[in-house]
Amino acid sequence: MTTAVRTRRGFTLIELLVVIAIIAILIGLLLPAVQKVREAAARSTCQNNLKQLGLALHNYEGSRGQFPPAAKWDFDAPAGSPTNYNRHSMFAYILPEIEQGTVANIYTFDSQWSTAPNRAAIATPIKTFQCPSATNPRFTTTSAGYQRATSDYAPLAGLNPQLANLGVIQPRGTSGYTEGGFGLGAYQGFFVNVWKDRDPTTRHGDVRDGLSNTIAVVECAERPKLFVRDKEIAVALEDLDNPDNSTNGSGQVTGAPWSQPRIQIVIDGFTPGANTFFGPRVINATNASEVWSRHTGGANLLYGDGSVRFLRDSITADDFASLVTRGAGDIARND
Amino acid sequence: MTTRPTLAALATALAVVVGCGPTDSPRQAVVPAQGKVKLKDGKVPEGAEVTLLPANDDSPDGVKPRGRVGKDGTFRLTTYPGASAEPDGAPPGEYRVAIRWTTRKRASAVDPDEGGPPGPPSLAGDRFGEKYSNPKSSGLRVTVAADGSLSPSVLVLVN
Repeated sequence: MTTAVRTRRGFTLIELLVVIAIIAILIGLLLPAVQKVREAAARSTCQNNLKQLGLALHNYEGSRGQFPPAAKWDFDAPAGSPTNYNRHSMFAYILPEIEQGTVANIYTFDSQWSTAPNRAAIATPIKTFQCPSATNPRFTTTSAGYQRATSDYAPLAGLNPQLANLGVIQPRGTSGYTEGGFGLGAYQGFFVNVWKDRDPTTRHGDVRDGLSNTIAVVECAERPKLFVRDKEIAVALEDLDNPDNSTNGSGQVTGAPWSQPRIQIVIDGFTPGANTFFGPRVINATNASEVWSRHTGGANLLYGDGSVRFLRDSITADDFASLVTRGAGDIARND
Repeated sequence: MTTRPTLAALATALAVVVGCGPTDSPRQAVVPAQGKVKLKDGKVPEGAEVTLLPANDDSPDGVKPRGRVGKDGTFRLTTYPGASAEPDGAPPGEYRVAIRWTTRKRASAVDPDEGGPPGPPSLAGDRFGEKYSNPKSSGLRVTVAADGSLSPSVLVLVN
């Protein structure tokens, strides 16, 4: 009798609850770890993308003797028709070097990037231009109703010299502005903006601070949505990298498509608490044409020598400025 | 009676704990403020960018009220950009002034697909030759009064 009872005995409710509780705790421990692994994987994919861009840039340089421009603007084409000018982004120049020959074949430099002959090309999303940590819609649609694929990376053209004038960073020399020109003088970054295809762009010798001390391509993720710190906010910010006085729409940033010349950025500094430019924060403060990534604590950056490094967002504006300038004679302290 | 200091100490401790981590400097009260600039010959530097730097505060994250010069030479200051492009004003006080005029002499066609008016990136040449781009050496100063009026009311620039 007693043996029969013993063999039929199941689990008590308490025992079941304890087991369930233990399993719950184990799952609770595991989930954050899984999230971390996923984020780490996304981060290394992102670094790999930048590495590919670095190789592409050097391939381009190897065959042409100079790097592509940050953007070609062709600004003084006769006014009248929008298509009288002919502008292209840095990413368009390196399409063949990242094995996007099919897109390169349908992209024509004879026509403005946004015009009809290029609309199939610019609607093509390219994985190498996207950070997997970012969740943006990957497309922006224009008022005319066609789509443009976006990029989470941006070529860096330099520092806004007003940062030095307003005392945010140490002065580095003259700005070297020329009437109608794009040169930023001592504040020039790795890439230069040019008017025409025949204008000289960056050569190895121009990067006097050293290729390994100069940032070439940065993360600027989630455009066209506007983020300040990690919050999407509805604020209308001025587009400082464009002197025609435009204001971005509320909660919007221009320059999201990889094919848009405005994707190139100039560091302006930011004060997140006040939502204003010319502040001390340079990484992960805002994605309004500043360095911003979805990675916790910093952003991935491609240097001129093709190396990819992760910079902490606590870096001071002045140290970062040393890494941005290509020939100011300022070598950043080791981070 | 003794609970009050204890409570105060607790509140302070809490404030310290909460206050740890990155803090923003507190926002200052602003009054709607607008000023005017013109060139010596009476023309208007339309599109010039006016940036104010507090006279006695050089901290990088200090307020920097900014405004764009309109057709009639007035500029309205924005200290904390909001959801609309409507300027909010500036905190009353003394400021040093930086002015840069980078709009091009010849306007070009607008391509709506650019997401706004087209333009070369960052700042072409300053049409004042960088004379006023550094607030510490520009020689321009304004005071924003409590009612939002600026003195001097008109800044006269030499092109």
